[in-house]
Amino acid sequence: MSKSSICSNQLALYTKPKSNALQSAVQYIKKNFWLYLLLIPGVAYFLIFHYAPMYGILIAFKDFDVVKGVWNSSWIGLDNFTYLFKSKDFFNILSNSIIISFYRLFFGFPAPIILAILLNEVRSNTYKRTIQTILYLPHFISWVVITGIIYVFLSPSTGVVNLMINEFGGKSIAFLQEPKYFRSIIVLSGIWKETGWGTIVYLSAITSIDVEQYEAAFIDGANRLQTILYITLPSIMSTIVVLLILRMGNILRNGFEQIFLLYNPMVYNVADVFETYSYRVGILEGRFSYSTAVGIFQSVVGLIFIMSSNYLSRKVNDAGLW
Amino acid sequence: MKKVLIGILVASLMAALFGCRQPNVDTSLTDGSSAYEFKIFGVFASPTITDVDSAFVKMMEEANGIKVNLEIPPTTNYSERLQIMLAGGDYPEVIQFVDVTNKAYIDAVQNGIIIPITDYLKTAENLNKYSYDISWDTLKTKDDSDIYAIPRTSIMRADGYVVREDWLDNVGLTLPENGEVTLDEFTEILKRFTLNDPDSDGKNNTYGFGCNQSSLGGIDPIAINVFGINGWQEDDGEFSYMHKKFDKNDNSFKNALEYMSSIYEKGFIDPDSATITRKVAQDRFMQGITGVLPAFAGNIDPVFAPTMKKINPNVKLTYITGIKDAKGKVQSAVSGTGIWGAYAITKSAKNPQKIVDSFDWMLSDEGWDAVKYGVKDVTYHEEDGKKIFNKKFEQHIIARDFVRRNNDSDFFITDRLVDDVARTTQVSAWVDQCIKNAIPSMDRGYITKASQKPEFIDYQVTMSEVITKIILGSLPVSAYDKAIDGWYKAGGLELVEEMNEYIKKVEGK
Repeated sequence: MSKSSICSNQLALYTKPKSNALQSAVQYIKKNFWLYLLLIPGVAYFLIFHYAPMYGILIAFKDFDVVKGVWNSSWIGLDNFTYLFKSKDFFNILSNSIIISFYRLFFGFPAPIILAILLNEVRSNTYKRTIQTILYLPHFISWVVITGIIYVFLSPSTGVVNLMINEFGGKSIAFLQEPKYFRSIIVLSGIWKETGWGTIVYLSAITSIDVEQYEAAFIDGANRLQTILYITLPSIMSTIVVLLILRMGNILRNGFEQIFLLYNPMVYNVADVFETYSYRVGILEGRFSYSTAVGIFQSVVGLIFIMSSNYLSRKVNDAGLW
Repeated sequence: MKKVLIGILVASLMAALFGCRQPNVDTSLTDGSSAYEFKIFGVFASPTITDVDSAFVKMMEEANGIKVNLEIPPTTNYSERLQIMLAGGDYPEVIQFVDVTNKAYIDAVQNGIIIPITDYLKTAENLNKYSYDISWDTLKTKDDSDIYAIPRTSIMRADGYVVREDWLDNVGLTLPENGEVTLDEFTEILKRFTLNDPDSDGKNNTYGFGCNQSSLGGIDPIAINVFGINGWQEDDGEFSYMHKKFDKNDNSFKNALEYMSSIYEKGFIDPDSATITRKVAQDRFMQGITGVLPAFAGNIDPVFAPTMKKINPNVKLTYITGIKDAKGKVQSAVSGTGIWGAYAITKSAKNPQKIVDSFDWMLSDEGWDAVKYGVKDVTYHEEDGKKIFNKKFEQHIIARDFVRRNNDSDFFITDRLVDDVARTTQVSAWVDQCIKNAIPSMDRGYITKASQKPEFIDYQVTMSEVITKIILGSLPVSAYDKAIDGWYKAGGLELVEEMNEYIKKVEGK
């Protein structure tokens, strides 16, 4: 290549950066054409099933009439949101959602991390795999079955827990009708069901840790606890942070089935969360617009939480989702 | 290879884009017959259509020149399925609404999904003859002269309680022949069933009364008629008509709460009541955990007895027809107006007259015979003019759920395989007694505008919460005063005023 042509190329680069960037992008796409083609079904899936239905969000701002449809229903502005914030139930539901979620975060989030580290320390592979299989099982049992088991265990008349209390001379406790026990039952049953399954991500993160680090530590005289604290935990910290940030996005989401199947009016004041409330007003009472507004509120709060926790994480830890 | 890959991708995209759409084809005339085809979305005791049910449907189709498709969602989530179906926009021709005071039904009428059927009913002699007049008032949903649904008549009756007779024997009690007891006698039964080891197993493991969560999730007081609460009736207080539950100047409802709370505190009520459904409460009665359960007399032998006898062959069941009030009377208001839901015809129906005629046929002599007994040579055969039933009669469920005549209490005798005349007479007497004890609430199931406001709807949950807490003892009875104040503020006052206007209008005062 002659000297002059290099110069002219450099000049072109300098004067037409946009078209060049576009060109290189096109070239890049051409080069990876088949990969991009394979990407289309995935993108189409999200567009069709996740983004297009968002059109329905409009009904939160409309007096939705099933006959007129989404577009032709009349606009009511922010009336649904005003009603939500003025509703006497709102603060109770908001506080229940946040409290239960934080309990789950505080007690439920570290549980799979601890369990994964414990499993990692098990020497016998057969024993480890058997334990893992047993631990994964509760994840596959539906909440309907688990709540049935909880009812049978905690029934004040025929439950095994109360029979034991009676044997020791105590009086039966209607656990599911007592506000002071209800949240604990929700959090503990959630931990029992999901902790085993939650270890999968952490175990896979642990397996990617270089074994030489442990060997070096042992040579330096580190004990098991020290290797956990100074090698395992720091190595899986980025996974923990990512999962924590994602979890923060769901701070107002407590799931529907578990609470719905276990609660009753005796514990409404500690158990009613946005999901159960939306179900009551939306599905049972047919106030679709209003329950959509409730859903949007949850999502907006979730988005704020996810963005702020990501920001904090980047500030403190220099690691985040984006 | 590339072409194959492109083909797969295009096909998967097309499938994603158009795969979920189903062609909306009217199949009514495509099979070459002239039968008018329509779909009924309804709640029936059994979701499975058996051969016996099919025989009835076939008979109905042939008699009316129709083709019926039944869609039967599970009863447990019927209301959810109904709401989602209504929001979806693809309506069957006929929808059964379990409760015509329900918002879903009212919205569907207001939105024009449900069409008025007044003109089609003009020729429906049997529907007019075998429905209560008061039922038609309820179905004038828009408060004008138009009727919006076909009533599914249910004999107006005030149900009593099924009782373990073998337990009564064990604790040394008997019921009077007409099944009526005083409140003290009733309480004594509950007490002995709880404390006197009625099942003689040497363990303190039984409870007097079994109850369950209401539709709002809470539990309600029992035997409220004893305390003078009988729905909307004439009143000499501030308003001409009043429901004692909502009367701020009357203690009737608080007395009922006081009673319920006291028997709960003494342990006479199943402590699981606040967390269980009707189905579970029924199971616990059948398992011998509770000894008294609210129930319809006609269900004792077909529903309870067979299962209970499998668990304990010595089980005997009897019935309390009602609890006497302070004046010694057994009178109890029935909610609604002699209907258990209604069939509404939607705007999808191309031939509403044919649909109305088909329901009318079910109440004709020919149709009613098939509804009540099943199809000849399927559930029974005749010998010397007498119907001899076979085992298949037990599967004759869906047809029996369709419609009812308002004057045939014999319909409820379902244990036709057992030729026990004495028992059949006894059950008929209980059913008749319950019919006699029923008094209609003057509201005729009227839906006030006030009751449809979001604040009012939301407050119902609070009311249920307070009532449940009072019964279970975590709130004092006086908490009801505050709750009722809140009820008036949430729209109750408008409701009472509207209801008074309505009752005055229909009573011609």
